[in-house]
Amino acid sequence: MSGILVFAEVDARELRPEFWELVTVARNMSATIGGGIAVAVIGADLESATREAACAGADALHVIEDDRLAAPWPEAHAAALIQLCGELAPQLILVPRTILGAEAAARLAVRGGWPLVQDAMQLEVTPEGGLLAVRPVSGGAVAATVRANAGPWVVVPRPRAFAPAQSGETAETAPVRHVFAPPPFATSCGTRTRIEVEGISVDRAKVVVSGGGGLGGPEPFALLREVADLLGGAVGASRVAVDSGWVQQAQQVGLTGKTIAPDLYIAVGISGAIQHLVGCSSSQVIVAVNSDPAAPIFRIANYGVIGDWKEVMTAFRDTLAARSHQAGRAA
Amino acid sequence: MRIELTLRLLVILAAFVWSAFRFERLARPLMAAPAEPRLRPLAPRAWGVLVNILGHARLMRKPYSGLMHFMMFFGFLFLLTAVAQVFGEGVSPLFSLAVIGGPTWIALGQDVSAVLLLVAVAMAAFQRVVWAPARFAGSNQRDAAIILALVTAVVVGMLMQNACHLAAGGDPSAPWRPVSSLLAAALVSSGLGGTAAAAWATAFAWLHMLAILAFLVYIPGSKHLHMLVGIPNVFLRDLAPAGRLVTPDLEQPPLGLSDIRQLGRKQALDLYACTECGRCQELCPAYAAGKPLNPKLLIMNMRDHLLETQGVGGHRAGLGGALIGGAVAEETIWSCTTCRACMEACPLFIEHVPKIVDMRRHLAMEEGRLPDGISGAMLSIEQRGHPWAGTPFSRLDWCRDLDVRVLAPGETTDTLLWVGCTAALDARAQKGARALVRLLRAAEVDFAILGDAEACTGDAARRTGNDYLFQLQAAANVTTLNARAFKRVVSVCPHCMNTLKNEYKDFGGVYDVVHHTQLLSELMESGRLRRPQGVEIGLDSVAFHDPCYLGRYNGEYQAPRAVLAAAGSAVTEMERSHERSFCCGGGGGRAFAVEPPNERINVIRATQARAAGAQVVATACPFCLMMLEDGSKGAARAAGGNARPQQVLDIAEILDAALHGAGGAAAAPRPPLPPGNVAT
Amino acid sequence: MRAIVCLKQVIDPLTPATSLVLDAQGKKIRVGASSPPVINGFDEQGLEAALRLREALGGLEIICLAAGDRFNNDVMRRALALGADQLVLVQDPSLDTWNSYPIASTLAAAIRQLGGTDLVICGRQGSDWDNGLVPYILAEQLAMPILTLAKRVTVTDGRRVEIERVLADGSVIMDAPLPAVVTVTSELGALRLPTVAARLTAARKQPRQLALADLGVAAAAASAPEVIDLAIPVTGRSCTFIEASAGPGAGARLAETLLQAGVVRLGGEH
Repeated sequence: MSGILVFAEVDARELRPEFWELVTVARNMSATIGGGIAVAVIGADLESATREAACAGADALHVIEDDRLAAPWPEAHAAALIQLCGELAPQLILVPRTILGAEAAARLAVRGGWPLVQDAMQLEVTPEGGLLAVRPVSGGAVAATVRANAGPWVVVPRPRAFAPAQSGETAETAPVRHVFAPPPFATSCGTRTRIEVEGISVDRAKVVVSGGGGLGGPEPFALLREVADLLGGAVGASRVAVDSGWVQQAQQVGLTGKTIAPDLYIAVGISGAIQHLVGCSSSQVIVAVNSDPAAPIFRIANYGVIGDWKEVMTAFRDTLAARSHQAGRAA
Repeated sequence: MRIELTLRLLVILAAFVWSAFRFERLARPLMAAPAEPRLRPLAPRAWGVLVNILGHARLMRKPYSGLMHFMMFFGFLFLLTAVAQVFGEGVSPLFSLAVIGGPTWIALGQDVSAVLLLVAVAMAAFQRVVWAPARFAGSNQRDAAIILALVTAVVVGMLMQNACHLAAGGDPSAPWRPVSSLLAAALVSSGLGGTAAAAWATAFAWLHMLAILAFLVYIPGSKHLHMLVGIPNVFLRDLAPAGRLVTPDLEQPPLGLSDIRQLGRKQALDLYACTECGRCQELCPAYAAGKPLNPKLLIMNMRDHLLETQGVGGHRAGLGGALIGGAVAEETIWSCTTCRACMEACPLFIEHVPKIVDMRRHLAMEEGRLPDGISGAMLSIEQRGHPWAGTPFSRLDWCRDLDVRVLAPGETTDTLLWVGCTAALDARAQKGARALVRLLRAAEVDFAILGDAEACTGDAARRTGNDYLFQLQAAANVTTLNARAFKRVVSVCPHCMNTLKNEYKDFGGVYDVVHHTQLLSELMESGRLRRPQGVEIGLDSVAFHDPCYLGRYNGEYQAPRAVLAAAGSAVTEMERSHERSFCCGGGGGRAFAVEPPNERINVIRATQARAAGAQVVATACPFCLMMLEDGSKGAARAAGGNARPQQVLDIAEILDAALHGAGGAAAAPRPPLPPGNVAT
Repeated sequence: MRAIVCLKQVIDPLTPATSLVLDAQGKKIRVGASSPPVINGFDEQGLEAALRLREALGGLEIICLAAGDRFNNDVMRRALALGADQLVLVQDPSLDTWNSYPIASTLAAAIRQLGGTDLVICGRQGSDWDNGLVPYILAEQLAMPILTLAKRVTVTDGRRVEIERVLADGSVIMDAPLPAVVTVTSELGALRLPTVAARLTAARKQPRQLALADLGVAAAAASAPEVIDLAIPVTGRSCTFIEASAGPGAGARLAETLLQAGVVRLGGEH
């Protein structure tokens, strides 16, 4: 048992961005875990995903490509991961904290009887050869330090807790292809429904401009869309805005299971009810604009403006637009 | 002559029989309904009838209508003599009121009454047709027109009958009938006289009688039933404290009101008493905000539904199906804030709020159906003893640095300060509580709080129909309170005060309870709190918003104003103040409901507050504080341009600033940081 | 047909952080008496899923099963007030653990003791530890397929269970043959409210107690991490307020500040 295996999840032919954070963790841990870093690309139609994963500078690249892995079918993806672990016997398996990834990790850990650490924010190997990790519990109110003894360890790092690694220029690692040989499936996977969201979805966007009850209606969201477009991001909303029918449900931030972690989160007219804070607090940088100086959102924001959202955001948009014109002219 | 007499008798009999059938069908559900104990005490009930029926107390709040009704009422009352004559003479030509003065003062009275009634009818018609006030929208105009027409027919019939009789000659009452005499003279000068006049007199007598009989037969299907039902309805009105709702026995179904036959007798009588005057409608804040609740239509629909089920045929057909979901929509039931403006305005003391709460009881306790926001708040009360799920505060956080004494079981204090869930757990409302503590300290009041042992009084649970939860809370709080000793309770919140004072008696909790503004008023008056000389307050004009549960529910309008005056502020009165105060929209569980953006009661009130032109709006209730601050932003937005929201402050904050300077307003404590923030 | 809904009694997730007490010795999180426990929210939704199934099938035996160290019967009885046919509790001090294996093994043994079941319904995770592991262990030990994150659960022709599984951007239909384990998530909808009549009846009922010793639970061979420390975290964030004389000035200055800090890059290039 040696080495680190990184599960590269693929969704709609694209490598999920969480992969690069896992690469960082792998590189950190490779100092104390020998055996090299292997990347597992699992899915269907994997040409571009494999090429991208190959730029990670890993020691090995394993690919399981099969039509049965096209849909986000947890049993199938877990089976592929279990198969690879059986063949490679890694010491540490890193899985992204996505709906599919979290389930694959759980199924893997239970099948193998291996310790599972979810939402790990810090990770290290102890001198005795155990694994030490820090993770949030009780909805984030408490930080727990946990220790696992002998491996293999299945770890699901917390989104945003580790900086994403830089992708290399060239595809260095040559892929090793495995034939998918799962045991008979107990579940079956049927039709998938996608909710069409205008523009980038809130979960994937690097920049989210979010509006709340303070906006008073659906029209102000047009201004937020302009700002989001300038920044290449998505428009999100608080529960109040969704409940009042101003935006679609899919844009809601702070619903259970919809924790987002963009680089930049701009909260406009959002007071910061507890559920919303939990949903966005993993963001790298939070900017809050609110007319109420006592709004709870300011407690977790990096930058704050106390003022009328319309005045502030109109000027914000205008300044950005002017700068981007200048940048465009200069280019 | 005999034929005419026989005919007259037959017609009267027929009319009596017909109307008896109609009245019986009205009486049937009343007699079948369970009776409430409303006959005692006698004296105040009788006095109420005197003041409100004879004295027209509530009616006179609208002088024009009041005067019109006054004339109509007393005119009609006196014309009962004419009715007696009609029926008496119908039975026997020997009948006469001469013994008691038929041809003399009675005749004069009848003439005067006739004039009064005609003027009143003209006034009524003018109001209905020309002014057409908004409160009549939805009222049955056809019914009103028929009544006015019938009254006119009765009066004209009587006048013309008397005039023709006088013209025929030989009527001893001639000198006592100035109006009829005038008419008689006009008739005579146009050539009418002798037998022709007598014949016309008979004809008009018939008109007079037929009009009266038509009236009798028509009444059961008309809002004019209030003539008969009004006095009993006022007599049987609820004399219990306004803020006390009946405690149901939860083991005895049905719980609440889901079928019109479950209505109590007086509650059903209410439906017959409605005159469709619309005074409730024009004051209802939910109606003003465009919500699907109109208290007048609620009563009318329930009445028509009751009539339909009895086969009498109400004004609107198609209301015979279900009560809830049919005659009354569920959204209607949930829109009410229980502010009581409707009940305060109703001249016949109809009880709108208990009916709404009873229907809520059925929905909440028998069907488990509540609007989302409200059910979440109720679940929270049940699970953690307060409705503010998600608050980062625990009950003692607001005063951790103030060293407030927490009263343990067995301990004694002078004053028990009941903080309430909102003042303890809402960041804005906490400031008011902190200001109050500073004031109590300055006045050297011996006080203590319950701390974590305090649980929600359950007011919102009871008002949203969850009496099961209310009774759990009441029982627990009474146990907590009775384990400690105190002279009286001072409550920060009027809802808590109302429940502790008026409703906990049913659970063994009898306490002397006052509101914090009442205590502050006492302290200022007795000099225990003194305003330092020459201190600049900077608050010259303040508009005071009367909280429903302090004002209408518990009759306290003076104490908060006295405190403001003592604090050196000039109070500007809003148009809707005192008993006419316009609710902030937070009562009846509405503070927890998800409000559609275009139906905001609090924005309307905040707009009214802006219009009053005062610097600051003062409140005495944490819910009013929250609702008006939020509404204030909406009102500023609607005002457009760079309009700033009006400042909203609790009375305690204003007094604290006046006594201790502007910096005295203690900053609220920072809550613990929200989860998800882990050291990186 | 029978469905067993697994419930967990947890600390109220909305307990303010100031009321949490960390037991350094036992490495546990505690609260004061003024914060009563609740049934895990997702598990309540599992019960809602079972009640909807009962309505759809015209009949379903629903047993609520919980394993823990100290039950508050008033809290747990909510399951009975909502229409569960039985409430079965396995109470033992050893079940005060954050290790999912003893809990899941106990539940599996209890299910066997009760004579098995057609469907096991769980909430997707417990709001205290957020592991979400128990359903998978259950499925493994009971040798049943497992379907997760259901917002809709239906039984088709008595043989298969079909769910609509929640995805980040939509949903997917999945199914498996019965008997099976299903976990539910918040999109399923809140648990309905009980009528007062049902509450009063439930208040008189007693839950059925099963002793841990009688269940013959084998120690799990699996390895789980051990909690060695608990701490309330302190945030490193503090807010820089952008000052300006008026709104438009603040907006412009905010944009400049973010551009200079490199937080914002124009044109969406990252």
